[in-house]
Amino acid sequence: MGRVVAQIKQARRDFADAWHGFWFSEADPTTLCVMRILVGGMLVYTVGVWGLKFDAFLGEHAWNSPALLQELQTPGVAPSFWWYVPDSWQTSVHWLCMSVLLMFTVGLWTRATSVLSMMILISYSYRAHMSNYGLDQINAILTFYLCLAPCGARLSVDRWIQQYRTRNAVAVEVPTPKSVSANLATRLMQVHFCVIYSFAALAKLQGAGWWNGEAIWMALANTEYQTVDMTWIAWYPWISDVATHGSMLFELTFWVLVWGRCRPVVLFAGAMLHLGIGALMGMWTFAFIMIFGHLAFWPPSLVDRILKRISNRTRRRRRSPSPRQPRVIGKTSASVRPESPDISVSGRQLVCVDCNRSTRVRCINHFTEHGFECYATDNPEAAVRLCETLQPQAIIIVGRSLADSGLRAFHKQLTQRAANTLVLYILGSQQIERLAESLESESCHLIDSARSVRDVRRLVESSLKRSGGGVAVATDVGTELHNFETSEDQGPCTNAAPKKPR
Amino acid sequence: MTTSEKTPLQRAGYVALNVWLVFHLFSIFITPMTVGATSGLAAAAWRIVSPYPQAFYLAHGFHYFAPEPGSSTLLKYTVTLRNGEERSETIPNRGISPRLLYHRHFMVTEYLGGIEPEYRDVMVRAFADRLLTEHGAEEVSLTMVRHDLATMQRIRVGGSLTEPDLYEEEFLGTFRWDGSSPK
Repeated sequence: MGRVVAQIKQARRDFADAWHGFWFSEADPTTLCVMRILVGGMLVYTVGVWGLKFDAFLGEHAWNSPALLQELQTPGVAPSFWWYVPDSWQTSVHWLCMSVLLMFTVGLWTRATSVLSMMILISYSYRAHMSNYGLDQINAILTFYLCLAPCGARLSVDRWIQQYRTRNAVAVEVPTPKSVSANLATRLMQVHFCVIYSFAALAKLQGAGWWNGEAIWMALANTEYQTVDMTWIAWYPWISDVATHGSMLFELTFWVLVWGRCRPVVLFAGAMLHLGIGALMGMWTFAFIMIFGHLAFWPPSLVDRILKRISNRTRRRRRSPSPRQPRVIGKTSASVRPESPDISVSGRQLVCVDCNRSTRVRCINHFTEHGFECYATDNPEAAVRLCETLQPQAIIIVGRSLADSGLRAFHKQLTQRAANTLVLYILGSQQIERLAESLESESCHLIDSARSVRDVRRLVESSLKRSGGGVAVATDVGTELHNFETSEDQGPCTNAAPKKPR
Repeated sequence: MTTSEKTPLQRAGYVALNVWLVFHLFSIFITPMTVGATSGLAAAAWRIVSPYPQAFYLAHGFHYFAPEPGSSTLLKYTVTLRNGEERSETIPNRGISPRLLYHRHFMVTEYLGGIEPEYRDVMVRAFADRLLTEHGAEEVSLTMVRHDLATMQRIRVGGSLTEPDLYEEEFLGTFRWDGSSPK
């Protein structure tokens, strides 16, 4: 009996772990950011098309008559702000909606505009109730989940603004932080698509056409949908049979096969099915929105690789890189000479926080010369985010110009978000006295700012040698950093132009 | 942070998030179950959850081309303008562009073909109202047209998809503008 109880308890624990892992693990939001652009573009197009015949669909004398909709829709559960917009304001409100959707697409104030886009979509859909079809349904589903996710974290104006604010930072393109909400939104999209295909298949099973192989013929023989004359299929009925059974098989098995190794095949088959619907029945918008939804099943790493390839190709075409473009600094190369052969060069990452660009560059150059991959920013918050994302094994903060309270807060954030990181504070002697008690610990060292960069590097390397890890250095550098020497053979540090990054 | 390391507030948030998640999954699953023939149990469950998916426009059956692709419904109309000129047109027609706008019109007429009888009169009046306004006309006659599908066999023996016997017409009425609504 006791063993059964133990087994039940173990099963419950396993289920809880699996549930937590499936819904609440962290994920890269890159795919969702791409989806934001695609779905947002579709929303702009959809609402833009409403605007071409606004009066016909949303006006007082519309096909969707207000009197009829009042009878058809359950009061209170079909919200639409269009019921409250006076006639004279309708055009202005429509253009305002278009602007919001455009902002959502480009990722401006994404958190707010995603929610507003959802409200706009719901309002148009309920007001033009009788003119809707699958496109509007999938638009709503995808926008709803994008509202939950940090879909403006990349490929957005928000991101660009964030980078512009830290423009003094000589930072490379920082990886997007993973988040639970990105995973939750992605999982919900995936599950919802499984529900969509499963119920679409179950409903089709009630029709004889989907059993006897004629359904695809029936769809193609409908002249109101048809874009290409496909009547020649009448002489080759087996084509209709194959297409009908293939469609059913796809929809029936999607929810099972899409989670396993067959995923690429399933998604390819889905794309072909929807492109076929688009090409032969003219429902391009529906076809594309379904394919956009399939992106939720694409691993973010794959999307990231594709984006990088596109980005690299664009850069090569431009030939001369723009000075604003993020530069990769500190990548190891043949000329790098690691001082401590015991420490692996790869994986030694470095973050610089400094209000002074030239000292930041000097610091980066020195550490880069010695085999570190270096990131720099003048923003402590950005440094914390970097550490959270990169999870480096050490951080160096030159915090002479920071207030004690600011340093303590920074330290608290670091210990919460990068717990396994070696932290080195480069401070003035009085600061060290004041903060020694609150900052110093096993993984945290306070260093006098009179020490040279070389000394700091050696300390970092010796600490790493003991623990065997990589490095991130964050510095909020005051004038004391000028005391740092770049290296013995290069002489004292000067304000000379920074070396070209490798 | 593991569950044991969470503060009471974080733990409460985690529980609330899970409750919402289960409710959400239940609602997106139960919604398509209740479209068409459904059990009393599913209908009761739908009554409980329905305000939530409806509020976010998530309440759909996903019965695309189900149970099978069928005939289409079109709307044929003739308007008499104030100068006595008559114009006849069918909705949807290939002149409507872009394609999405064509589908919007098509969905309206398809809705007419499938609407419950008690709402049909209001709908037909709304359509008459729309056409009188659009054309600035005095009178409009409406006819609903059902376009049936041709079988493969019919095509093989020389038939086409648009033969006259595939169209079935139903006259809906003639409406005049009385200043406020069509009569």
